[in-house]
This record gives sequence, C-alpha cells and structure tokens, in this order.
Amino acid sequence: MSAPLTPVTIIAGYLGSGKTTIVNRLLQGDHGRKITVMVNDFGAINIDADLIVQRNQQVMELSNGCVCCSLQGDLVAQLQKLFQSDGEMDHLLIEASGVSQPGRIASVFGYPQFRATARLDAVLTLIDAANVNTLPPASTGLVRSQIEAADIVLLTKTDLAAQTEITALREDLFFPGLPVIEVINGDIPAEVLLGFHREGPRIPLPTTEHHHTTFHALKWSSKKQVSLAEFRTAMKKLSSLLFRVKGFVYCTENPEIRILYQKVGSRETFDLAGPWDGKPESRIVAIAEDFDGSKVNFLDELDRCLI
Amino acid sequence: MVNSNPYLSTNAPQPVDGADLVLLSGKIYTVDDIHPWAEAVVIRQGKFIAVGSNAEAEQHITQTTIVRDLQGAFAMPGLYDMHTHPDLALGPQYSDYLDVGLETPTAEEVKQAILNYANANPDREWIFGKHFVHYNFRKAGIEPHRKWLDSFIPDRPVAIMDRQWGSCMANSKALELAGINENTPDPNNGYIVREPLSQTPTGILVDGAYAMIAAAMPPPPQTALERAYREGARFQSSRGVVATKYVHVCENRLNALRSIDVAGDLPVRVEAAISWQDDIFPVKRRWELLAGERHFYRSNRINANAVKFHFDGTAEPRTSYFLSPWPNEASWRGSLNLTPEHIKEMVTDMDRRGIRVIAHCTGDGASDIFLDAVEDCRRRNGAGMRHQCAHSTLLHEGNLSRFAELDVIAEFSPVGWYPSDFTIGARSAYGDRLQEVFNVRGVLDEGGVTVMGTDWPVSSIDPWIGFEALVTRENPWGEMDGKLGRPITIEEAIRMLTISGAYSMGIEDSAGSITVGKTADLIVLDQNLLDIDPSGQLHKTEVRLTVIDGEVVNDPENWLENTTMACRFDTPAPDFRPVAI
Repeated sequence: MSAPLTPVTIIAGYLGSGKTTIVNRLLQGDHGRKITVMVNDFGAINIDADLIVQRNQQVMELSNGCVCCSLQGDLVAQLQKLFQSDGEMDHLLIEASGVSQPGRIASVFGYPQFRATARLDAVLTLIDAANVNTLPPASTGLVRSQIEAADIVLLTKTDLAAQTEITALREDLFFPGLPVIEVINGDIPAEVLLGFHREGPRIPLPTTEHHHTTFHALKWSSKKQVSLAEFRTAMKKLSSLLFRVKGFVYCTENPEIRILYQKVGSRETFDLAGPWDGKPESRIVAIAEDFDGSKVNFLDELDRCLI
Repeated sequence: MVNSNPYLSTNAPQPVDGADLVLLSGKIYTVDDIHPWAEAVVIRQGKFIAVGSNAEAEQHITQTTIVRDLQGAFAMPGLYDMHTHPDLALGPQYSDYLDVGLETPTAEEVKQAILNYANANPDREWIFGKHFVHYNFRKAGIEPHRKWLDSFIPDRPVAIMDRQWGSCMANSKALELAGINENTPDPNNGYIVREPLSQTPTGILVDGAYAMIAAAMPPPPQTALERAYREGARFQSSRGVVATKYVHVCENRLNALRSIDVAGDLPVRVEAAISWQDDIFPVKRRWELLAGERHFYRSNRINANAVKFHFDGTAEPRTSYFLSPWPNEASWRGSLNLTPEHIKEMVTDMDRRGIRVIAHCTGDGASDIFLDAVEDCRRRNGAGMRHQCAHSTLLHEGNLSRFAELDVIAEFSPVGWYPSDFTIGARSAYGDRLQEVFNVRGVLDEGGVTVMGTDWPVSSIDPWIGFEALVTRENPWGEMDGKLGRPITIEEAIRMLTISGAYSMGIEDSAGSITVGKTADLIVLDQNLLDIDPSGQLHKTEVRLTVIDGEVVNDPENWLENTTMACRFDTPAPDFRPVAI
C-alpha cells in the first residue's frame, strides 16, 4: 500500500476574521501531531519563545514538531518542494490571504502532481459575525467567494454579536448543508478542525460556558449491506450537522470492495479501498453537532439505508 | 534583365506624370541625420522624390499634382508599434459569445440567458460564454453539474465560465465533443471534477481543464477576427501608426489579415508573428506556415516572417525568470516555459529560414538566456535576422551592451513606464527593482536599438501615451506623482518610434524616415513635438493626416476630399483611447 496522503486544510477568511488566532493555537496545541503551517503573514505569528527550536526569516521550527513557514509566490512550486523534502509532516495547514480566493488554492490539490502526496481535507472559512455586514461593498463578493469555497464555516466573534444577528447571518449568507460552527477566541478542538482521531472510544470534546457549539462523537456499524444511493441521500440530509464522518461502507453496489467514505463539512469523498479483510461490515464514526435529537437522527437515518 | 522596380504596390495610386502630392510650408522633422528638417515633401508613386524647400518642391508640380499647404504644421515619419494584439483585445467581444450581463446572476437567470441565447442563435452549434457564480448555485441548493445544463439543453454543446475560480461548467454534449469522459486523464495544470467511484465527469472543469473545451470549439468566427484587425489597424492609423507587429497569429488570423489586405483596406504595414506555442489559442498548420506557407500572405503590407513565444511569465504570478531570487524569496527565481536548449535550437533554425524570433522575456534571466541563444546562432549562422526581445521588463546591467553586439532589438512596453496603481500595485512583486524596469536609457547608452510595443490589451493601443512616458517617466494623467526609471530625450523617443521600428522590421533602408527614395510614410500633427513641454501634453497630440506608401489613409479634416487622393475610409475611425478621467 502506498504512503498515506498528507491531509491539507485551508484556512480562509477576510482580513481580521481570526485566522491567525486559530493558527497560533493549533501550532502550540497539545495534539501530538506534526503540523506544517504555511502562513501569509509570517510576522503575525506569535509563538511562545520557549517553544521555538529554530527560526529564520521564512521558517520556524517548534519543539512539538510543528513547522511554520511563509507562503510564497508560486504555490505549486512551493508545495512540490515541501512534499519532496524529508521533514515529517502529519498535516499541512495553509492560511490563505484575507483577500484571496481560497477556491483557487483548493483547486491546486486536484492537480495530478499532488494526487500521490496530498489530500484536501477541508476549506475552513472564518466569518467575523460582528463585522461581516459592515465590510465595504467591494469586499462582499470576495467574502461570498470565500464562503462558496468553504466546507465548514467558523463563525467567529459571536460573543460580540447579538443572537438575532447571528441567526440572520446563518440564513442570509450560508448554504443548505453547510455546517457552521461558532468559535470564540479560536477555542475549537483540533479534532474537529483537523480530524485527529485519538485512540480510545470517546473523543474528548469540551463544552464551555460561552454559547458554543457542542460536539458529539457518534458511531454506527452494521453487517448488512446498505444502498449507496440511500447512504448519500442520508448524508446530504444531515450535512449541516455533521462536521466529520469517516468509515467503511459495505454496499450492494460494490459488495466485494470496501468503500472508504470521508466527509468533512460539505466535502465528501468515496474511495475504493480494496477487498474486505474478514467479514464485511459497515463502520462509521462521526463528529456531529448536538442539535435536538441529532444523535438519534444520525443512527436512524443510517439504519434506513440498510437493504 | 527586366527591371522590376516599376512594379507598384497593390495599394499605391496609379502612376501619372509629375508628382502625385506635394506638401508645402510645413515644419517637417525628417529623422534623417543629413537633413533633419524640411519645408516641403514631394510624393510620386508611393515614394518621396524630393524633400527640402518649397522652391525645390514646386518644380515637381504639374496639372495633376495635388498641392496642400501645411501652414507651418509639424510633420514627421509615421509611428511604429512593434508589439500589439487587436485580435486578443477585440476578438472575444466580436465573437458574440453569451454574456449573461449580470454581476452575480442566480441559477435561474443563468438558465434564462442560456435559453435566450440558444433561441437567438439557432445556427451556432456551441453556446459558450460567461458567467455563473458558484455561490448563488450553492445558496439555491443546486449543484453546478452537467445534468443541470442537460435538463434544459441536452442536444447542443453548452459551456459557461464561472466568475471567480477559473472553472467552467459544461453539459454532456460539450463534454462528448471535447472528448472528456471517465478515461480522460487530467491535464497537468488543472483537473476534471468527477463523480465518486464511477469517475464520470460532473461537467465542472477546473483551471487548465477547460482548455479542452476551448480546443473543441470552433475558432473565433473569421468575421470577428477580421473586424478586430480592421478596427484595430484603423485606430492605429488614425493615431499616426504606419507599421505594426501583431505578435501571435495562427492560420485563421493570417487569413483575416489577408482578406483586409486584398480589399486594400489595411492602412498599416504588418509583421505578423506566428505563435510557437498553443498557450493563447491553438495554432493549426504551424509547421506548414513556418516551412513556407507564410509566403502565401506576403504583400507590400503583410509579412509573416516572425515567430513569437512566451519564454518566461509575468510579474503578478511571480513567474518572470530572474538571474537571482525574487525579492523576499529564498530561492524562487521564476519559471521558464521552454528549456534553454529548446531556445537555442529554435533561434538558430528560425534564423536560417529568415524568420525573426520575438521572445517574451520579462525577467533578466529570460533575456540572458535568449541573448545567449542569439549569440550561439550568430556563431553558427553568421549575421542574420534581427531577433526581438519582447517587453525586456528587467534587464541585467551586463546584458545592456549585448543588444548592440548581437543586433538584437530591445522592445519595451509602456504599461510600466510610469507610476500608476497598476505599476505600483500589481507589479509590486518586483520590489525595489521596480525603479530599474524598462531600462530604455541603459540599452540606448550602450548603442542598442530600442522599439516600443503598446501590447494592447495589456496597455492602451494609443501609442502617444507610451511616447509621452518615455520622455517623462511620469503618469501622463497626473494620477500619481513621481517618476519611474530614467527618461530618454524627445529626439531619442522619436527615433525609437520611427526609424528604429523600421530597423526592427528590416526595412530601415526603404522606410522609417522622410528621405528621398523611401516609401512616403508621413504624419501631420497638431503640435510641434520638439517645442512643447511633454508632461501631460505629448499624449494629447492629435494626428491631422496619415500617409502610407503615398496613400492618404487618415484625413479627419478632409484635406483631400473630392480629389483623386481622397482617403478611402469615409467613416470616422473607431476610438480605442482610454476614457479621460
């Protein structure tokens, strides 16, 4: 089997929407992963000096194995160099410029030259709940294109906006099926953002006293075949509540082959993952928002896909 | 031996006794070092037969001679615009492609526009145009997909570009005609979006992948290309241009130019450079054209003895190729589209065939390799064609003298000659080197020949804007203070836009100055260029008369109305000047 593909996350959002806060927290977080972060404004990255092993004008190495480097002119050339280098990298995070089209960066990961090395995990677009409606009209189109590229929206600074405003934003700006997470001060588990699945049955998912989204880990399995068409419909129906879903699907359309299903926000992939090792069985894990009855919903919807 | 000299240009007036046209009492700046100024010129059979005083000229006047008094007006040789693209600037809008016409149309509005266009153009097979917006589709819960297009147009190919991303949505018929299916490999610089598992294309083609649609579509209609060249050339002529290079042509473009030429409607001399690459449009029959088919188009006004290619990239994506890393970069030097070995072989081969190589070189590394290739070519072939380094945005100090040594033309484009939002903003990637851009001064000081190319649509096709900026290096409209780079004198700039242009076309012995025996190319202006303060003034110059090969092709004040020399164009020239602010 070939080397696993490096997952790539793109963090997008207009100027001042909180991208650097999130990047700073991820770089210093205790997640046990070696993350390489490509940032747009290298100078804005503010890391505790004790953590820094080495630093020059464009690259900073941290004691936890994370690396931060500045994003340069030719992204394709820079990525090629990065994937060819020997450094260990569990995850690649790209902070898009506040005035860029993240969709264009995401497109690069569809190019054939990156197929064997990288996998676009998700585009996370940050929207400043307190200020998005006060942006100059010329920037509205840009913010829309950042939303249009998003797999998950992180609605930031919700503590500075009234609940009615937040509800209105959700209705006016976002799409059906697009998960929206409210985040204050970059306080969101790395598991949700980057999909690190730690060992153990439960994913430790914090809840805080702010009005935050709370996350739940869900599991489902069955030895019966499911209809892939029904399965896709079910996932679509629950899309806005499911941040991450991953697992193998045992389906009538392709019963001999394991189908690896991954979903991050509104981004879904299906891959043929070879024949079953032992008895075929669908096994799905998910991180979902704790909405009224969503846990029950998820399991029920999947049960309905069984043939 | 039969003397072929009396064979006249197809465009020249028929011979009569005596002079055809005599212009008296002008301030005529000839760009001829021996007689820099004259009072009068005499034109017969397309050539200057006398240049000098009124008294000398009057000896040539017969009953049929048309005589006009310039009343002290300033005249000079016509201008040479040595790099521009009317086809790229005007072709798409004259192709009548679909334009939804809304900034952010909804899916329903896109659908209606496509249906209206389909009904209005039943004879057109393809429905191609712009644009849809992914955001509005997602907001409406509609997946941009071939099936959505198929649902209302299943039987004709439809492809519509999106506004933001560089992607394209095509229906099943368009995919079929472009040969895009589950087995089609992705191109290197883009990809085909596919259904999970089945790999069937969804109809969304990203970046480089939509070029496959463009390749399957019929080329821009011949009428669109013809109209683009006709109007572009006519505007150039109305602004005093008598010779130009249209760099990047294919067989269709040459056919369009030829049809204007054979009708006698081409008011400028054109050197057309055949594209070496398919990067702008597909070039069918390239090798046949380069091998000799290009001679089919040859006339007094047209030659296709040139080839054009993009050696490196541009400022915005930081792809100009440098000898040292880009500002604020550790090692990135930009990129080359062809290998140095490729350039070497090609320059030598083309040179042997009498084909001029026009190489797009924006970075100092690209021009360095190009000059090396010409040096190698001279060693192998001896003296030959004058090859042209296009744009020459940043040149290495050590290469400035090589233009003269190797007889290579340094061509500069005025878009970056003066401070503007575009130069300072979009080209900010050049960093401190922005002050060194377009070093015309440096090449001239080393004895090299420099020419100007307006490079429309990158910058305006009006040559007078760059003309002014050459001598001021200031923003012609006063939109931004300061100077960028080093100016040249007005006399040097006039040479650059006239005789040097002729030199870059290899016709300096027969054109480019007002000299007895040369083709009668001349313009009359509303101000004396050597007498004015050029700042903010030179670009406003109005052209009162344009003469090429002794034929009046631009006569806005109707000086020759109702004479045998009346201008053949009786409608006003189109106006492609930038809108004044």
